[in-house]
Amino acid sequence: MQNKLEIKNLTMKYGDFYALQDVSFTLEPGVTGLLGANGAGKSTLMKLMTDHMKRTSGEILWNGQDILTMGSKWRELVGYTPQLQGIYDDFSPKRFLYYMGALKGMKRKDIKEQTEQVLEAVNLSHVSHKKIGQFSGGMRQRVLLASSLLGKPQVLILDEPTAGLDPEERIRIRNDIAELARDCIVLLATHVVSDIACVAKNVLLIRGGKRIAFDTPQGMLANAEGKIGEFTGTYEEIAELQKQYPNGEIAQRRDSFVLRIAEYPLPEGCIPVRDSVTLEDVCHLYLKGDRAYD
Amino acid sequence: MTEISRLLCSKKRIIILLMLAVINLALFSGYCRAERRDRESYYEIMRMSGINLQQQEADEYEQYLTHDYAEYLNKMQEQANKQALLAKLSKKSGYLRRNLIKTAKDFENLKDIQLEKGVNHGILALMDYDTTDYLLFISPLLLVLELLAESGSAVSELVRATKRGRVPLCASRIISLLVLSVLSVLFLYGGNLAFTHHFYGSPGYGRALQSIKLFQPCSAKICIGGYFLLSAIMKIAAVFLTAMLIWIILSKFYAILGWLISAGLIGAMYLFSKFIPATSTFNHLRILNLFTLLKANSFFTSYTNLRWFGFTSGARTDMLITVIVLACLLTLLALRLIGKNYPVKIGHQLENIREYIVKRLSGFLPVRSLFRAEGWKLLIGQKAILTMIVCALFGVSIWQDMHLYAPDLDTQNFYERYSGEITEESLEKVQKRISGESRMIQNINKSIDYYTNTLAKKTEQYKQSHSGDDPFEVEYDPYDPPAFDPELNDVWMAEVNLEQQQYQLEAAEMYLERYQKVLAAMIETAKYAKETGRGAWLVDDNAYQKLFQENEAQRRCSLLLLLFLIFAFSGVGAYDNRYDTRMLLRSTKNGRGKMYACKITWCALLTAVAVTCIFGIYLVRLQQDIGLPLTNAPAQSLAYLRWIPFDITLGGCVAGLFVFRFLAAMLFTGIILLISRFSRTPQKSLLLVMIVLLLPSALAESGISQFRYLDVIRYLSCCKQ
Repeated sequence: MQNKLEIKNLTMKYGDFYALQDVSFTLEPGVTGLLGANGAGKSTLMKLMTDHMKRTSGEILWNGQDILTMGSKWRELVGYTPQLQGIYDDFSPKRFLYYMGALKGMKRKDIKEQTEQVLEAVNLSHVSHKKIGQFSGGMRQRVLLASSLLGKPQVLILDEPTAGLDPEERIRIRNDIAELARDCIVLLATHVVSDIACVAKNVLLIRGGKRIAFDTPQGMLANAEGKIGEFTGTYEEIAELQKQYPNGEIAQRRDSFVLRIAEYPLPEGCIPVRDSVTLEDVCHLYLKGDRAYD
Repeated sequence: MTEISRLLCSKKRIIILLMLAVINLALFSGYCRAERRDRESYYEIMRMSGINLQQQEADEYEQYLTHDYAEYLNKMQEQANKQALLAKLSKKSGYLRRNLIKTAKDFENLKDIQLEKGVNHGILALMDYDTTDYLLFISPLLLVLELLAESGSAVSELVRATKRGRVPLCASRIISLLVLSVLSVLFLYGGNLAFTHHFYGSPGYGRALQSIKLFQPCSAKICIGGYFLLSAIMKIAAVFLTAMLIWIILSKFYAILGWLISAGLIGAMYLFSKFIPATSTFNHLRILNLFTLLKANSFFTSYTNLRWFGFTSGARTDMLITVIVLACLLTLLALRLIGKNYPVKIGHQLENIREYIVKRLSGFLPVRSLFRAEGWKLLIGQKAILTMIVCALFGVSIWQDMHLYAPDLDTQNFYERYSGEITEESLEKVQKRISGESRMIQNINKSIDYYTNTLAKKTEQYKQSHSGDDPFEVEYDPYDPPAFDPELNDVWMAEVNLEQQQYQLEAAEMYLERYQKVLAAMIETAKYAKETGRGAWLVDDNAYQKLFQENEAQRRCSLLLLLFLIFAFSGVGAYDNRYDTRMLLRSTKNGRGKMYACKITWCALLTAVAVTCIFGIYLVRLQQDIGLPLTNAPAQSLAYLRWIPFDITLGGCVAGLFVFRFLAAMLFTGIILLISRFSRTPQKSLLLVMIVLLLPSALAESGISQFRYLDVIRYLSCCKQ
């Protein structure tokens, strides 16, 4: 039987402000991308899933059992990479991973073995004894990612895991995540939409603490058909149009300029785009404003 | 200006400076009280041995003011003139002659100074107390560490990319360091000065410095107020130059190498100042030294000239020139190396060596258990080991400064003979001793009568045979004694014998009074034992008084323990609160209960070690200097322990004291951990802990009785106050 993580009517309230409101979805093995603007509630959702905060209402069920009743058993299953790079500068990657392995309750033999493996996976074996304080942002991110992979978790919660990585590293990490996701539930929050487009089975869109959409990437792209269009003209014309559509994206094509917008219905003069609709367009369409996903 | 106000006016900096001032004042006031108490008890002990030391000192001081100093100047002058003449005649080296001429000239200026009597204890206490000198460095060094941390961060790249972000910025930072050094000295040293004024009385700032005997060799014509001002300036210079030196070195060298070089330089200076003798060829290194500058006293309590290629010059002048040169040099160096040049560090080879060693060792010492990992975080990551080393050094200083006076030999012999279980037999023995003393007093009185009569008779005989001359007006010069006169000799012998008998009478009466008191105490204790059914012993409670009643050394030990707990543990929780680290740790299986259990266990272990070592020092000194007798005696043998409702020995009480101290220390450790858990950063946690635990104790220590019940030191020392 497949593992299942169900989020049911999850709500997190601070006074009168709803950080998350009545969010429900179900995760199964595979990568689920989590997209949302800054302050939409992504990190709040992740903190509730790692039981770092006390929820206002709702349930988080692992195979039918609430994670609150599971206690440390739930955290045994989880691998987590936070958004801010909270690691000790005077630790080396090896020492940090040993420490995280001990915190995860792993056996000593397993800690040693898996530390070597994950350092290799994130390409940090050659600097395993250097102090993390000397690392670049991308290297620190890889250390954090490596720590989340220790203990062969069944649920991976990754908050911006590829931030600061160069394109080659990003592809590599993406492929590793995709490989892991065959047997593991992965929730991947990112602003790099292309990461999700390549590996995600499902995409969850969050706006203002509410779930806007939960669909496959293909479904979202199909939904966006007829809602993405482009204006073509001179630079001055496009610049003038942009005042009307400030969220539009300007691009240069050969001799002309293009303003790509996400609107429904598309305005007059705007040519619908059919073949090159991307998830980024879907984000433009739904993450700004108050448009519902239908 | 913006940079200066950013660095100096930050809340953190102001709070730290104020906290240091309060803590320093509390420590110093405790020291002064202890010094006065020890001095007075020493006078008392000497008085019991028949010596009025206080009067003696007063007489000697009077003698110094009216006669000895003038004689010293004259002798100086005569000797210098004689030697100069000899040197001229024998055509000795130019340096020797120049040195003598200079010496004579320097002291000739002092011929007309007026010495005045005044209160000197305050100045002496200020000079003897050196803890403040080390506390002076804290604020400037914290600023240096902050500047170094900034230089490694992204904000430094941003700042250096601006128009005024290099040399002008560096100049502002140098000025900030100087101002902070001034403020440190003003608050701390100034606070001490103000306290001595309040506690001992005004020293008379207008008095000539040489009015204090310790400054007799000083050739400067300054008053006491002038001395304080010059001392303060010297301390400012020492603190500023040291901070600049460390800043420059750590900016240019990698961490390990930088610290090694800094420690090496400062350590070398310390050794030079301590161990190079004054007559050595390397005396220049001893005098022109930041530690000597910091202490400042040696420039006024001794007269030193330095030899420079055959020419002589005064140590104070040389030091002034050195300070100016060093200040200019370090400022230019800082502006060039830190301000202007690219921020490139030297010594990466040492970092490579460190990594190599760590890599090799990690195979043997893997830290894969949570308990050991938390221990590593506490000891190495949060530098608890460094805190332990620093506390150990302060502990050595406390050990050396402990004044634990053993009672006089006669009292020791008495207790050796009669202490033990109080029985009818032992009471009888003491009564016999008292009777013996009474008989001895009677005999002495008879001797006094005899010698009084003999003296009168011999005096009369002398007068009759020497045309009425008074034998007491004959002056006796041991270098030019008069011809032997048997009658005069008889008079002097009778006088000496009479005086001896009078001293003996005084001592015997004192001992009799003491034995009577002891007997009364023994009877009272025996009565108590009979009523309660508990054993009662006669015990020499000198040491136990110092353990269970008020004692300054125990309070200093408690302060040291408290400082250790604060500096070692205040970062424990806060260390994990930065960024999202706590979230990461809490997301793991053992990242809650078990992790905190490991942290608390380590803190408990270190607390136990600290309590054992710190108070163990005191117990060992007590045992060495005074001794802890009859530890198997019932505790209720001592009147102040009769509140204990159950049977326990004195040894058990001592052990119980340690247990209580450990429990009290654990309680305060718990408070520190709690505060740390909810603090955002280790620095904020440290500040908060100091405000909650240290400040009330410091205020209570300085005499504000309302804070008595919040005085943590009182609970840790378990002393009646």
